[in-house]
Amino acid sequence: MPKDAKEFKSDLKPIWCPGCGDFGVLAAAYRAFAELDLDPDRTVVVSGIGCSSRFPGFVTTYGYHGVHGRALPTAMGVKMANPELEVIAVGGDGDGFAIGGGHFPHAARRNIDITYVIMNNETYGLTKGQVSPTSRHDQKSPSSPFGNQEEPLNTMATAIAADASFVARGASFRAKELTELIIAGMTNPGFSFIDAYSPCTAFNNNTQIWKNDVVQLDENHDPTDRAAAFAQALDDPMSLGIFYKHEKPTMVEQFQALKDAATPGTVEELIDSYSLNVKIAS
Amino acid sequence: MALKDITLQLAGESGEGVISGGDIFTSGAARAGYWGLTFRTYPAEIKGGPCMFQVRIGSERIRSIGNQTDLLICFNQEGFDLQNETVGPEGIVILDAESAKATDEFDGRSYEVPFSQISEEAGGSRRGKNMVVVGSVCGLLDIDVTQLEQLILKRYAHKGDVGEANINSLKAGEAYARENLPDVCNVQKPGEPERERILLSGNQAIVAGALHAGLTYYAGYPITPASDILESLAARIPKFGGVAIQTEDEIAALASVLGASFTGAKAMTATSGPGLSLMSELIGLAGTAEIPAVIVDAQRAGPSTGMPTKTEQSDLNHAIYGSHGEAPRVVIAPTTVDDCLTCAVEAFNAAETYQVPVILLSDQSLSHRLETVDRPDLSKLEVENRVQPPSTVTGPRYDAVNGDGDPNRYKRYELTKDGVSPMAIPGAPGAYVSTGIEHDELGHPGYTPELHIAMQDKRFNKLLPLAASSRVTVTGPESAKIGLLGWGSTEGAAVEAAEILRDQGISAATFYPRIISPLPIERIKEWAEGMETIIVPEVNYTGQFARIVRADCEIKLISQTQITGLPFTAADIAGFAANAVGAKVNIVAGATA
Repeated sequence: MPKDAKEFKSDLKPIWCPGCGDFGVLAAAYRAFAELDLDPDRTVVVSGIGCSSRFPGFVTTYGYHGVHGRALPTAMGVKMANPELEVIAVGGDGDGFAIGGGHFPHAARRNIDITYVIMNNETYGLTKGQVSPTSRHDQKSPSSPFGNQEEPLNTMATAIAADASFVARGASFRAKELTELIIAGMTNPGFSFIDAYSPCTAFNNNTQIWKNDVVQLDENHDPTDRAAAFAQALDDPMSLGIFYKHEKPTMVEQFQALKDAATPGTVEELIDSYSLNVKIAS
Repeated sequence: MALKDITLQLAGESGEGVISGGDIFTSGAARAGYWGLTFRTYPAEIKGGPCMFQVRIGSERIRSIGNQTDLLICFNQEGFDLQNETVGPEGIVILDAESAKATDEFDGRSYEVPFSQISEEAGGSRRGKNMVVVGSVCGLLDIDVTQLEQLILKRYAHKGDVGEANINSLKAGEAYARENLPDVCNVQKPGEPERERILLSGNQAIVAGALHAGLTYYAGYPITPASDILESLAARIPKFGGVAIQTEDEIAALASVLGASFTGAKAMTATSGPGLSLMSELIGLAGTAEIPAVIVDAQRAGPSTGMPTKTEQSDLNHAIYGSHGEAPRVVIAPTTVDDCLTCAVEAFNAAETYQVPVILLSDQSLSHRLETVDRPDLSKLEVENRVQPPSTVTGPRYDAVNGDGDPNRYKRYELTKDGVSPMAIPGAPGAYVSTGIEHDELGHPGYTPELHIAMQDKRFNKLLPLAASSRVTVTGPESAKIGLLGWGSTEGAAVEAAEILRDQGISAATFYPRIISPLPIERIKEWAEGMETIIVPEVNYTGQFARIVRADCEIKLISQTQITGLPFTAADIAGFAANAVGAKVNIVAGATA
């Protein structure tokens, strides 16, 4: 019996600005969690630092609001230490692709059983509007007064290249579809990545433009075809939907197999196992 | 006259089997009932460069590396050139007849042995040279080599016939020495051991201690000299139902350790200085969010890349203060190999009981030394666990807006009398957000002056009992002319130095606390009152511990530092101490490399 989405709403009021896309992502998450009938006491939402990383405070599950950029390795520790828990990592585009960018391909290639939702506003909202790794070329900002000199990172292509087992894009203003993507990601075993457009009304307000520009992926797109997914990602007009899916052994499964294969040991045996060790009898 | 103990050095080229030969000899000597302690120095490169293995064996427990070389085995000329100055006046040198010669300036005893040739004849290859050396040394010291055969077969099992060939080389070496070099070296025979002893390295002891404490999650990134902790756990932790993960960097290692600990698992990472630098920000998070974690820092010579294979105690300041703001943590310094095991258990106990990151500050000389120790009695090492809230607590439900008024509302950071708040574990009731942002008792962000003061008070005050309860080892009288106050791996040399001083009529004592942050200030002051002159020996440049003790304990002391990449010898410390009080002691100079 699915829960009521309200059951996931905490007693802490979001600090986000009016109209912030993150409200839409939060609402979609409430609905997805309810639909999946999650137990708040067995669910952990992990984040880094940034406006969107305040997310764990606004849900009734366990939460972990760590340091900037380290949500993915933290979530790995949570999941690998207790695979029974449902683990979701969330954060912004700067948190996930700038300071934390080094962790992304490793989370994907390990196939950690978590879902990672990036609230992508193409800017640094919390520090007042500097360019981020997903900001567009020529975008003007306090840190790019003459326009952004750099090209944005292609998040879909990056995730497909790293062979993430589920790669999708959603948008905060497409609540129903985003809810479905979160459910699909959380149902997928292994590492699921959802990049959600989530406009910043204060420092990079593209709400109207993005609403007009997004398109649904073609119905005929085959997400199990990696080359097709890559081609789609390389020449992409802000498409929403599941770009890529690749089911493969998860990190939890692989480490569980090691545990299952091992005969239980004791520390005394461990001490004896060191090859140079000697027992000098008494 | 038979020597009480003997210091042996094997010197050659990296890749010649100097270290593995030394390890095998040490194991043979241990099997023959000798106590032993090894030290190795080698280049950071994989092949090439001078390599030296030192082992001191004797009939009583060995505490330091030895003041001088009694028996130097040179695999090549460079080995002789670099190490012959460490040979004591009664010492002897044995050189590979083919590749090394004693110089005219060397006035000690020297012998040439055709190690390479014997290896070729007995083992069919010159690669067994190190085994000939091991056999020869056993022959010289009247150690039976047959007990090494199984060990060699096991060690080289994956290399086909190499094991057999090595045994032949070993035996030939022994026979040669017994025939050609009788009575060259005479060491006091060990008595029957009273208790079972084992031979273990510091890193192995840390692994054993961590698993005894209940470790189930390990993450680490390869770095000298900590890598073998990762390797050892990767092979063994599945037997304990845990996982060991090689992460993409040290930041990910500690981040994941904190995530694992958040779920209730006992979690650890191990690194060296450069990795500790990367972990700094997360140490602050662990301190603020009050997440238990154990971080092993096997220190090596810095700064920067420094001398990765050499020892130093130069991360102390970083361990105590590293991370922005003022982040609470505990720093524990083990002093010997068996102490590494005990301290690893104590580190987990402190982490769990006080919900705090604990840095276990070892160093290269401890990580990779093999030391004969009494087999630890694990049943005496009690394991502590974190306190959890009752299952009646409630989480942050929106319909319980009056959260603060709900008597069952779980307060993760409750301001308790002792500063320790019960920590809920995911899977049980009591959902909360663990956070590094300043927070109120519920974990909600808050920046009022009162709140910040209350929370910093809580996080620091909860640790104070640790200073009072820190395990301390003391030797010597309560009042002495010289007090040696130190931390970590220098203890053995300091204790021996104090013995040397006392033997020569200068009263001397030692004081080694295990928990060095928070510092047991009162206990140091109390001990120091009995001392005329206090000396703080440490293997770093700026005298870090001396500065901390001076500032916090407000006592006068003299700092003794050394940054040779080598551990202190007892002679180094005794000589410095005698000099500091204007006395003279009869000791020989320490080892150099």
